[in-house]
Amino acid sequence: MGRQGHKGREASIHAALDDFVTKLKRKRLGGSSLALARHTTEVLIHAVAAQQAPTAEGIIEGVRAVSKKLVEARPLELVVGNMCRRVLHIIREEAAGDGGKASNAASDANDASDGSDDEDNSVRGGAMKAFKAEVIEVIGELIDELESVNAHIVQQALEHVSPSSVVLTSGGSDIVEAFLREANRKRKFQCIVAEGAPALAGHQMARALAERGVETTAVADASVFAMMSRTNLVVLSACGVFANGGILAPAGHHTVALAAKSHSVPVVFLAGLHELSPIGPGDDAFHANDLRSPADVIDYTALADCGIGRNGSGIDRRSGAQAEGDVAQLCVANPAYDYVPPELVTLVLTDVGGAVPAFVKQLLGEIYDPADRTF
Amino acid sequence: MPSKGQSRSKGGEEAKVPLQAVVLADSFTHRFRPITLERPKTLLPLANVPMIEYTLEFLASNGVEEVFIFCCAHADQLTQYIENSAWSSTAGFVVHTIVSTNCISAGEALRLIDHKHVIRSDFILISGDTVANMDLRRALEAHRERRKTERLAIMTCCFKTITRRQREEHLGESNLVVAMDPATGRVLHYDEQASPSLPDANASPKRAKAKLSPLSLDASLFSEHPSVRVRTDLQDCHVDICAPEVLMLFTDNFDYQHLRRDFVCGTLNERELGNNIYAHELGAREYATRITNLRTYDAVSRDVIGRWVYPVCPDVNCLPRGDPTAFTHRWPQTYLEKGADVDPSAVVGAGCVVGAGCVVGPGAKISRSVLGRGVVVGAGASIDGSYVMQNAKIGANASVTSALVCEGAVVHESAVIGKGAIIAYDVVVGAGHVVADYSRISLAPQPAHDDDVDSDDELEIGSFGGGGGARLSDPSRQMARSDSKGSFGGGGGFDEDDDEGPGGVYLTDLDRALLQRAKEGTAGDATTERWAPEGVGVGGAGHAWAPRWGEEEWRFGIAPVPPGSSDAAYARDDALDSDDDDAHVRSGAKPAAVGGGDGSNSGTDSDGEGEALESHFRKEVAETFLRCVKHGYEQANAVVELQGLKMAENRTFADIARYVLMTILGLSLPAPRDVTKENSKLYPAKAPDNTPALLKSIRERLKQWAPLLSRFLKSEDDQVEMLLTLEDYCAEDEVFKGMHGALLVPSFAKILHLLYDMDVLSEVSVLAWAEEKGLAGEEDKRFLKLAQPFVDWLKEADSESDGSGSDSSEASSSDEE
Amino acid sequence: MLATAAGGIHPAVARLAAHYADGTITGGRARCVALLHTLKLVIADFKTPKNTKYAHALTSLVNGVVQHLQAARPMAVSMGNAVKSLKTHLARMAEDASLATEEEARARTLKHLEYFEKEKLLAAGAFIAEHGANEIVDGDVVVTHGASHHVREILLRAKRDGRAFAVTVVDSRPNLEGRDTLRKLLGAGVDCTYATLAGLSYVLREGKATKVFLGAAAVLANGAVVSRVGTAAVAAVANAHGVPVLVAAETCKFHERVHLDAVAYNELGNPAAIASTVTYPAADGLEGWEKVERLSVLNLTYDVTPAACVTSVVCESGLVAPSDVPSFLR
Repeated sequence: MGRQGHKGREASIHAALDDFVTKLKRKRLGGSSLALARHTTEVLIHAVAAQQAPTAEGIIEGVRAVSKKLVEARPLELVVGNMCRRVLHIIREEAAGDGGKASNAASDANDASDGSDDEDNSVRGGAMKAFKAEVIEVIGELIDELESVNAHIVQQALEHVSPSSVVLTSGGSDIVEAFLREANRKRKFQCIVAEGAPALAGHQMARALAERGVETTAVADASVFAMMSRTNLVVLSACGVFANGGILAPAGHHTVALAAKSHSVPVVFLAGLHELSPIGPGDDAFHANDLRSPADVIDYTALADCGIGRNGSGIDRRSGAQAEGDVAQLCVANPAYDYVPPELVTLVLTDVGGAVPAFVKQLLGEIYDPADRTF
Repeated sequence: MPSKGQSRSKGGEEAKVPLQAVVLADSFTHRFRPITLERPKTLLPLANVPMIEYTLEFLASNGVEEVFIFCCAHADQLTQYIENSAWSSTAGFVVHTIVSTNCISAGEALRLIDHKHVIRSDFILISGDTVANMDLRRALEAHRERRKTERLAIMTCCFKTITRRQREEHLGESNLVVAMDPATGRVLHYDEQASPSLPDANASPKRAKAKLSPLSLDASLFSEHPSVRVRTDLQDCHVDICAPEVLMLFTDNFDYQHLRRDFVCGTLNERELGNNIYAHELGAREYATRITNLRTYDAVSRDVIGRWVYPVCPDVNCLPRGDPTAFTHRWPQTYLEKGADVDPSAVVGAGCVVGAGCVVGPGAKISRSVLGRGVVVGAGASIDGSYVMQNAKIGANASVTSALVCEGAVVHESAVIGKGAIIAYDVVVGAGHVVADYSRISLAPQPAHDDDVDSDDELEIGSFGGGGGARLSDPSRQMARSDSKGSFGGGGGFDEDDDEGPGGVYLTDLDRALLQRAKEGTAGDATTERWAPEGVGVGGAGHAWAPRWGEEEWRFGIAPVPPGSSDAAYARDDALDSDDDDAHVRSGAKPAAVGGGDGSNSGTDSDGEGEALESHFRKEVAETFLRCVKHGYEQANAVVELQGLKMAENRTFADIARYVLMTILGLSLPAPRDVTKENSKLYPAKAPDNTPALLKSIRERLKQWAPLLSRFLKSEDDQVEMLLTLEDYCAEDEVFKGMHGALLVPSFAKILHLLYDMDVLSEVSVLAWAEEKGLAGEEDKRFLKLAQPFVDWLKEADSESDGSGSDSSEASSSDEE
Repeated sequence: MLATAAGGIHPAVARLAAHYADGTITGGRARCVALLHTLKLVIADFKTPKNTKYAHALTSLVNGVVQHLQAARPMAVSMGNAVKSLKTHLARMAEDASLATEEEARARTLKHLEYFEKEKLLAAGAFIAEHGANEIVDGDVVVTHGASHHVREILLRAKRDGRAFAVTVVDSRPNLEGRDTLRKLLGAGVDCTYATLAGLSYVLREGKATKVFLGAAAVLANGAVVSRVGTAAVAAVANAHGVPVLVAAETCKFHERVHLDAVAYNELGNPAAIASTVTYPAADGLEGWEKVERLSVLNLTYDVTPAACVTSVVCESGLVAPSDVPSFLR
């Protein structure tokens, strides 16, 4: 049955997987989370196709193993894990939906076998092949769904942005820009864009909005509190949505959400279904963060003349004892993400409609299987 | 999108050439001894990952497809490592190892690679200990663009902006001055000056003690380019993009050993060939540093831990490839690997890396340190600013500060490891022993010639036979010159050192058993016979090595720079800069003689050994010259002979010229004692009776040989050196003992006049020499006094004729600071 | 109405105005001290015109000076209080018949200014440093924002007293004043962490911050604190994490006005400071923003931290709850 073919396929999936994992680790897969979701799903299609297990359970185990590797490569890129869970959910559903036909056929073949491996293999293989083909088809539909996520979110813009309101956003995000442009088609409103240090993506966003006819004001991040008293709505993008309704957002959004709360301004987060994650406060990934290079925040040479001892002894804070050579240490924090607790979130707008934080759990139940929360 | 190499279409044929890189691994440096006696440097772990991994990852993530790793010493260990690692089976990334045991420098390595004809297009040249996250593609694109229009843009060097203080204190690298054309980025001048406080081994004791030599720029530089930018704020990343022509140049110039000192400076000097070198500057977020000494190792380690090299951080867990680490990050900048067992009462502070399998006992304090896998730290121990490698053991209440403890070493209870110390593999430090600051302890005995200050590009000859160990360098390298290029011919000097044998660790079975017991702490004082307790304490194992570099040890060590030491150097440096402006105004300074980047060096130090070698050299020159005289060679032939001598002895033309002049002068005097029988016939039987006769004979010979001399003594510095040598000769100092030079003393001034008339000496040099001497002590002024009439005459002549060299006469007011 | 002997603006005043305008002298305390010195110079040179009383003439002169400085840059609260104090003194002097000569009047006025500087600024600063330093205990992780003279003095004083603590400096664009604080603290040997506002939540939580010290431009009657823009964010996030917020301000910064929001009465800085960036890769979206029709750039200088976020105010009398501020405004 062409073992070379199997090996060849195994090798190629191994290579594709390795390549993807390496790219994830090297942080070379930039671009939007949608692109990442699509890429992940394509890799998973390969993984499914390459599975040789005779039963659906076996296939599921195989895909779980692959998912584990992907998630470990970059735990904070929630989208990767989410797509793995979606795919697993699809497989499980297909397996259950068939009425266990595929696995039954496989186990029948198992029972009936004594010698003639090839025959059984082909029977089992055939059933599995069909099963896998179906699964891959559904996954393909999932990818199509991904294409329309943005459009569905943006459709809801008019419901939330009222005329002559002031909308505040922070940093630059394609989905938020599309959202506001859509609202601008029928409503006239003002927009305040906080620049979003250190990447300063807000600058480009402000310009883009202004060029499309939205009255925009660009401000520094520090002014968010001051400007909040004149704001009616805050619209922000999310990198992920946790099971408790909390949001994994780009750094700085927590401050914005707090400011909004203190001025009683509603906060809306835009997130596709692919960003919903069953990870909750009990999981390790919940508390993790990705610290980027200090060079974004301060020059390597900036404080060279300060007598900073990168390698000198400092003070042991806890014991209070002063070590010899009292040279100060400098650590620079440049986290990529912020956690926004659910009480600061008014609404999460997904491509299937708006959801309050408490409702997120329900949505999760519809698209994932509880067994797949961890790999 | 990774650029996958270039497609070359030659008349319809589309050959896709993969992007290639040459990695010079195993460039042995004495600075990492004693560690590198046993292991290759590129396998040394940085944040628990071998350095070669960082380099390979850097190349792979920039789209390199084929890598040639050149290994020399300990090549077997490195090749085995590469074979067993996942790099040898990574798709789209082919790794070849090239092993050679008799290459001794980067130049030799590149010649070997050229010989193999494997490089097909522009390639990346890098050393195996580079940690970087820069975007090579940008540099590569710029390089390729340039090559399209300018075929001779053969090399692009990468530079990073850094402050001078960081370069010296954090990286321990030498002062670098680069002059470039800001519009095109072309490098016009490259100067790696020794740092101010390094013992400037070149300085002849008689020259004014300038700690940081002034930089000379050829004046024509400024006329050829509309603008020149001189940068002192650059760090050379040692990541080069080279055209294949670079390899050919190395083959053509077989005396090129060092990449920067020889190749870059040589290419910049030989402008007739038209090869150009360009600079690429790293962006603000990019990082690329090569680890040349322990201080750089420390700095880069901290930068990796401090996430400056993002995304190459410990908790990204992508290295070592195929079997990655499993770190998690905890604020502030602490990385714990899965499986590390840290007692709750232990304090692991900021900037620490703790590997899997580590056991940190109660009450221990770890700060700013890296612990490899399996390290056991006893209760109450304190480790600060140190690097402890795999499976080492630190006993209870021991204290390790700013030290490097290698694999398998054991530090028993209550021992104290001073700052800057290096504890090599498997060494045992006895309980309670205090290891002095900056000491080095290794199971291998210290090789005799251990205080080389040569740079990292020097390679040592690989191990002979098994067991790992390095042969010693040729003693002729001990001529204290900063641009000595490594010994020629492996076999040369070894015969002289029969008693030393190869370095490295050789343990008998008895020794091994004893070592085992020492590690367990049960040896008691049985070890004191084998290993002296002064170095390692009772129950310890290892030889303590004598310190090198005197008080400059701190320069390349891990421990923090003692406060004020580099400040003092710069304080002096600044004063020098401001007062020394006129030194730069000397016109007519021509580029330094070929082969040396920084002018002539007399290289005599008062060390007896140095003198003997110098004397030997002088003799060689004299012999060669006398042979020319005897056989009546023409100028041209004599030049060829002397050039050959220059190559063989690895000196500059100026050195040759000086001794030739002395020989010429000596031919008017009775033969010196050490001349051979046949040559002594060339000498008169006795000294001339009177000065005019002496001068007449000198004049005749000078007339004959003056063109040769003036050809060899081009730069002002050379000529001043020559004058100093003349002084030595007349004073019968140093190498000139017993050569009757004193007979010339009465006619000193006239001899100078003669040399001036024959255009061997320029007035500028004479005046410069006079100036220098003017500042010296009384006893040194003797010859100046003798020559004073001539100098005065020159000055008068100067002030009479307007213009030419008149600034020299005013330039007598530079204060020695 | 400017009425000086020369009939124009005193050169010291012009100089001061220039310094205010271009930001050479910045920060409530520094500006106040500079104002007092300049006033001393002006008063020393002032000669009463004929037929006017010293005090009246001087008052109108001071008004003129204030107007001039206000045009260069709106007055800080501490400056306003200093001027108010001076005018009160002059008014009292006008009533006081015992004053015979102009010399005496001048001397008394100068003395008053000195008293104000010594008592209300210098001595107050020293007390604030002491009270603040007493609040710092071993093992503390102190968070601060931007550059505040008093906060820096508190931290340096605590370090001199031998406390073992670490500081996190939070910085914000466009002024990046935190780097100055960072430099001085590192120079004194204090272990520091540096972050921008984006990293604020992270350093407060992961860094296990125990206290937040902030500076102030003014403390309002309702306990709200007016301070450099970005301070409100730090205070709010600290509050959300349960970290106490201490604001260091002398009583001469207390103000009876009440702001309900931060936008009114705020000061606008130069928008170019926001629009111009030096980042890699370049973020030059706002280059040439003036030409884009619907785009504007706003550079606010101050913001208002609500009293609820402030745990206590450290002034020369010690730690004061924000609600007790009106008692100082008699």
